[in-house]
Amino acid sequence: MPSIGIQARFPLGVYHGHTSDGSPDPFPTPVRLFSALFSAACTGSSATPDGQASAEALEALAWLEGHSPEGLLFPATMPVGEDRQTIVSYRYTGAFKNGKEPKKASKAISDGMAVHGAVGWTWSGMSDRVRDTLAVLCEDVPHLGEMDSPVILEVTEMEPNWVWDPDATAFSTGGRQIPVPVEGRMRVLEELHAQERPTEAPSASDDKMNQAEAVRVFPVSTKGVELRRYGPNTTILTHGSSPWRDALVMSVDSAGSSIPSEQRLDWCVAFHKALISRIGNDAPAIVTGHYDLDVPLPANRIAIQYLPASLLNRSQVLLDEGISGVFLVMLPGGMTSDDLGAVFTAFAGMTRLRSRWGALRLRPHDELVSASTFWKPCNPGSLRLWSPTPVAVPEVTRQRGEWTFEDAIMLSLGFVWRDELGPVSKGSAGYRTLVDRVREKGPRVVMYHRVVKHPSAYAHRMPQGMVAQPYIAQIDAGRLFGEQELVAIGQSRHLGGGLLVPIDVPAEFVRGMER
Amino acid sequence: MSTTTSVISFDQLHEACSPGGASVLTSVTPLEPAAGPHASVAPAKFSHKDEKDKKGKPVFAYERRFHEGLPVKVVLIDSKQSQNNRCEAALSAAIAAGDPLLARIPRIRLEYENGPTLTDLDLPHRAFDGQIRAGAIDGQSATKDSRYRALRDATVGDARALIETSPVTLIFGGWDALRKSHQGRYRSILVGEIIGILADQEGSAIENQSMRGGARIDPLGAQIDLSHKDLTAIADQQKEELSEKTYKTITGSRGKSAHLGLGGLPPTLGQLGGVTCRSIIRSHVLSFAALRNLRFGSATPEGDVACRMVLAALALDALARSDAELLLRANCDLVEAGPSVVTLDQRYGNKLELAPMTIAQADELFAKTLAYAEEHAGLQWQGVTLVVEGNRAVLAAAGDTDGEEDV
Repeated sequence: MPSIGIQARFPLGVYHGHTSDGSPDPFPTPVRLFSALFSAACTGSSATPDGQASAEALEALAWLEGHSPEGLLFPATMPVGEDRQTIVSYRYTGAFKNGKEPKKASKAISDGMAVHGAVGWTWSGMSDRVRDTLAVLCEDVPHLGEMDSPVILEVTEMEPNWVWDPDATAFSTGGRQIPVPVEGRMRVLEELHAQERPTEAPSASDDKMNQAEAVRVFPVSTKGVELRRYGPNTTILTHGSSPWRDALVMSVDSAGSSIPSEQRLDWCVAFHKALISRIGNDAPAIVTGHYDLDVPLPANRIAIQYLPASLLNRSQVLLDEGISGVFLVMLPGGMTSDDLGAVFTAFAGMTRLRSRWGALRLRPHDELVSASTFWKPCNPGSLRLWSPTPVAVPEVTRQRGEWTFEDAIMLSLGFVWRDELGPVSKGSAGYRTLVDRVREKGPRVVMYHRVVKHPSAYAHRMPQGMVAQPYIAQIDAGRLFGEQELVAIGQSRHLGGGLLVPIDVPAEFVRGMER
Repeated sequence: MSTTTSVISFDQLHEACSPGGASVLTSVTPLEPAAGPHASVAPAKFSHKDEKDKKGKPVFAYERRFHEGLPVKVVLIDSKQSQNNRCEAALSAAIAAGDPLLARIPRIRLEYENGPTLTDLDLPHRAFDGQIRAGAIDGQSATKDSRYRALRDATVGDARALIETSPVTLIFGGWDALRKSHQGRYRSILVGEIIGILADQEGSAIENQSMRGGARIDPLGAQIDLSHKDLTAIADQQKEELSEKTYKTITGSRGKSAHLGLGGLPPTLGQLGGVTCRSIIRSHVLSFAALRNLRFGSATPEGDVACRMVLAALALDALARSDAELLLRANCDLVEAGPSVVTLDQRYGNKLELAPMTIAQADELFAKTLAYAEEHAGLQWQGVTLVVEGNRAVLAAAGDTDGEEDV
């Protein structure tokens, strides 16, 4: 249900701010919002002629001090700077070196955050009186962060995608620790202003030029600020036609080459084990895959996949250059908020991963990526085909009677959407029914090719007596799933296999390639 | 959403500068290389700061933005600071050309004996620039002069002294950063930039930029070997025209004839060339919220609104003049690929589409707001208001090498 909140739009598409230690600020915090509103109260249209906040404004700000935002709206963001190098421009400081030569200093550029949509802060229980006063203050806030990131603030209804966890302690992990203003913050701002503007202005003697001039920055204080933990609002996670509704992204922080195809399954298994280990004894079945006997098995559970940097550029996820790839933790629909919380917490603290192939340094990407819009849209005039990476593995052997390898691929698609396609009988007859139901949705196999080298490297577990038959293929999804969906198919779809990557091919070529 | 094709009117400007008015006015213009979309353009150069490489090598600023819902790689063709400087330069040029309307803009004029004359439109820190603070007014230090002290003591709550003496400080921003307290801090009400969306979104931006070749052919000979004595003699002859650093290089132990521009230089591809863009976008945002934070000690609230209107109209005039000139730098000739889309953001999703302003329309609006401010705020703009004598020591210390700034 939407809440009342303050929404910030950035007309230049960039938020540019710095934290108190000088590092780029990833998100305008409630503390920054509070300072901007306080400033508007003292200088904007509602201020008294002598620069004092009105009684209504003080009342509304006092209410904000006592009420941390219950929700935050984080749009998709990414650092403006393309990589971690520092690009600067040299500017005159307005001061002199040795009292006569203009002094220049470097200033970093490209250290803002590109934002895709509005940023927001929400509250429940806000009275109409406070809401109306805040609306007036918002009108007169010209920028958030640096002066070159102009903003439009509005009081409106919105759905937060991160919510405050009031039960979190200093030892809670996962989510984000966000500074919020608490009681006393307004007084701190008033004191800082008074310190900056004492009763008497500097005398002519104070203002005289001198040999050792230096820029004096406005004093800052962290008094009246506390950290609150916010985590994803699990009630509004996006859901498309993919069984996985969102994905967590973990960068492999390495300038080296990407993980070779035949090692990916091993690494994903290691990642899975590490995640379970971090969750501990209470790791939910949707993560472990170990369900009680009396519980019907869902078609899909959490899936862990590796995507090399060369394929990452087909996705909407943009990360710093120099990474060799990412691990995706694909979260299926139906996860409870408790299960999600356990995964988020375990994920947030992972920094290293070991397997028999060595060790990797990991860096979590802050955003939750929607599975329904994971890939970039299809190129105009082309048909989107899908190819499993590194390979896919059929779940069943050849069936008696008429049964082709294409049927096996269709069945793999059917297993993924089994819960949506309706119940089928067990055994071969059920498989055929499932294949028919998949074909009704229009998918087709344009080409496939079996991989004979290291077949066992691509299947985590196979039914007894069955030999893994890894393959690469080009599959037209028909109406089964959307062109930007994140999907994995086949025997090892939950651990390092069968991740479908889009290939855009001119429609004419596809007709020529059809089997 | 209602739309119109007329430029912003006096009444709309009045409403925007009044309490509860519009938040911002945006102007977005599609641009393209003058030679066509296939041509590359030379973006601004910046410096790569590296602990190992203290000097910093020149680089283009590649950035990322969301465009039409997708993350894209872009290059910064002209920075925010540079775009504002171009607006100031456009006003300065019009005044120099004798424009009678713009000549009425109050300004501080800094005069160096046997040197240049500059105004607060030319100086990077405007009214609070070090060169003004180092100067003298009527024979005594500028920082002691009561008129200049009034500028430093002005506040956003009463910026009357600034609007009467240095309104460009209120339009393009100024920060009295060295004062121990009561610093004047005024944000620019106008912010803009030009970005190019890279044609190649897949590859590494740096690998896809072109490099510029350089070579020199000397008809006298590819090599001209001069002795150290001859080199020094020629350098001495040209000493007046050479910078101190160049003179030292030539007369040093590693001096070469090439340093004097003699002999041939083999072709190299050592300098940053250009970048090909699939589209180029110039954006400007004029903040009415920032204007509403300014008051001018007027007898009535209407006086403050009138003063804000003058500043807004002057900013729009500067923008119209700057937008009319698309010469940014060598190898970066751009033309408009379509009309500017001007939008008045009236908040809560209500947007008013406006036509872009011509210089004549901007002048007309500016003149009208000026007359309105004379009547309602007693504002008298009659040109130069404060003359400052430049400090000789500063002029003597001014260097002629300035290779680190973006250009």
